[in-house]
Amino acid sequence: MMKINLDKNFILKNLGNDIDKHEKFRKFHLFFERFLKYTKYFFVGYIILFVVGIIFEIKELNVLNKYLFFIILFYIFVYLPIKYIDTYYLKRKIIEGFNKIIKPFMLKIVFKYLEKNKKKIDYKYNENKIFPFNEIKKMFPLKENIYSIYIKKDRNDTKIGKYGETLIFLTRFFPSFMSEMLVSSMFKDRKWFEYYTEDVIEGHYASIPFVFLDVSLYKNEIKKKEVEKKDNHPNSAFSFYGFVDGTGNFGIPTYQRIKTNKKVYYTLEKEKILDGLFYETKFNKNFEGRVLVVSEKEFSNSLGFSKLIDILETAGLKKTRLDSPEFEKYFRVYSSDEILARYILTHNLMEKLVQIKKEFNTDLIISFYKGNIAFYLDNIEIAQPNLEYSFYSSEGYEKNINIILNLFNIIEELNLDKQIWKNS
Amino acid sequence: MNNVLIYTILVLTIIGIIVVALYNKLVALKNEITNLEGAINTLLKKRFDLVPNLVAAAKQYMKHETDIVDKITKSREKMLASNTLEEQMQINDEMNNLLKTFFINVENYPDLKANQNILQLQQALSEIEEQISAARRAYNQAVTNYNNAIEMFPTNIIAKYMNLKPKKVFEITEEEKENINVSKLFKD
Repeated sequence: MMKINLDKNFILKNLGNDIDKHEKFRKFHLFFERFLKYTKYFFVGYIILFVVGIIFEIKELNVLNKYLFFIILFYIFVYLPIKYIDTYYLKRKIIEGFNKIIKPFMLKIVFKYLEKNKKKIDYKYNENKIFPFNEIKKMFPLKENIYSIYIKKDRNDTKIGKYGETLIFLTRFFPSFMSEMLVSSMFKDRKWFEYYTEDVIEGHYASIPFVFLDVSLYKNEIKKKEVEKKDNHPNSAFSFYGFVDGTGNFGIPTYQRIKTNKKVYYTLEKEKILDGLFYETKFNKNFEGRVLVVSEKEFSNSLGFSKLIDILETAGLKKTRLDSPEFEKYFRVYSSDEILARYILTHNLMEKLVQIKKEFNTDLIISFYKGNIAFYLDNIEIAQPNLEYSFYSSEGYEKNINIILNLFNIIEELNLDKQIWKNS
Repeated sequence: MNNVLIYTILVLTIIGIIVVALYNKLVALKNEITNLEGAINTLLKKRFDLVPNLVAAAKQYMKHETDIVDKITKSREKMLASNTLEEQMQINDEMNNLLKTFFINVENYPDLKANQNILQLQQALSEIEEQISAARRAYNQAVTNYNNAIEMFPTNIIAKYMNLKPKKVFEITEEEKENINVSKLFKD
């Protein structure tokens, strides 16, 4: 990790009063957080002593009875409001400030640094943008009906899984047939998924186009539990808000108030499929076919499948063993052609990919497809607000800036800007 | 008596199925090698087909260095006349050395160095050489899998009856393990 030192005056000069405001919110949040933590310990300790005093009839502990009323008042009028302010106001302000002020500033610093290496860089940052952008209509020219159903949002404008966008995102890594299977298996019965992207940065580095963004894909499943009510009086029916089957299109759940004699509990189970960083740039070789490199043996579970191998082989990708024991230790490779896999994954590239894996220390999926190289890095975000450290100290920005720098180093390390091979 | 007969038939059937499966596996491994040999052949042919264009472009400018150009032409003739893959790979390795010397000499001819044809040919040759290298690695893996199968139990029993012999892998030089760096070629 590179050591980075930013002068406080330099930060103030570029960010002005906004950074001071952000710092104040952060300090308040830290204070409240500590206050809530120790108050919680106090409450727990008090309750334990109170209960022990009653059970074992310890006279000395009876004095706690006198303060019970005040403790309750304190909890309702001090503890809860502070918790509410901290969660719904302070934290939100800090994240807002981070996204609007600090993130663009860090990007500016990184790109200024990269320009010093005499490589041109241009970029656009968009906090809320759905990726992929315009490909959906091109992808579904014959499926207009499906497109119109799956892409539009519902009347409450809640975030529902978007079939087309998720499908195209997944085809960056998996063959179309398999991606369609993945998406449709997530989108039936009482299951649906949430797909969204944010913090999209797209541009060119040394004339190589790139895009990186935070991506999330969660599978949601509604679990239903019915309990028969003991009271069978017809007027004591239980009304509730819940998810009702069959009222939405293609299993999209909708809210509806209904009456029933049974008490029904609906729980929403959220399962993470993807939550990390997506990075795509142009590869320096021209090729037909697909090569997929997966770092984690258990990834098949996080993608919701028990046997990734079987599915990939059905989709036309064969498990390919390569001639590098170190590489084989960290990665598994699936390719549409044995020669193509070795054409792309030279010994040099395999060594560099192992280095990248060690540097980011996370699970990776790397896909070579349609002349591009795409990375998915699990549990990594482009930049996370650091609530503990001040932005004036290096702990406040060093890690985030290093992540962005390392992403661009990928282009350097893999020599992606050296286009010495024929490209159509 | 009947039971003994039934069990014997059952056991023989199971053994038969296993033998057939192992036989098919060996055939598949053998065919994979043949398939890759074909792929390497195609790539070698593609590469050597670029040579006449290279020679024609060079002859216009390199009037005093006919020696290297002649050697390249002769190497191509040797390739067309050769029959075995091993021989062809050896000739390809020789060609690599000749091309290295050729492109070093190109440095002395600024007009030739800037010639679009030469640049494109250089790129095409590099690309195909990368593909040949990849095909060679794939071939080696296929040969390793095949050799493992004919030497390990129980496939070695069936391999013996099929008269299958171990094959040799291609040796990859240290240089081939690196990406071809065209700018380096011009620096020496």
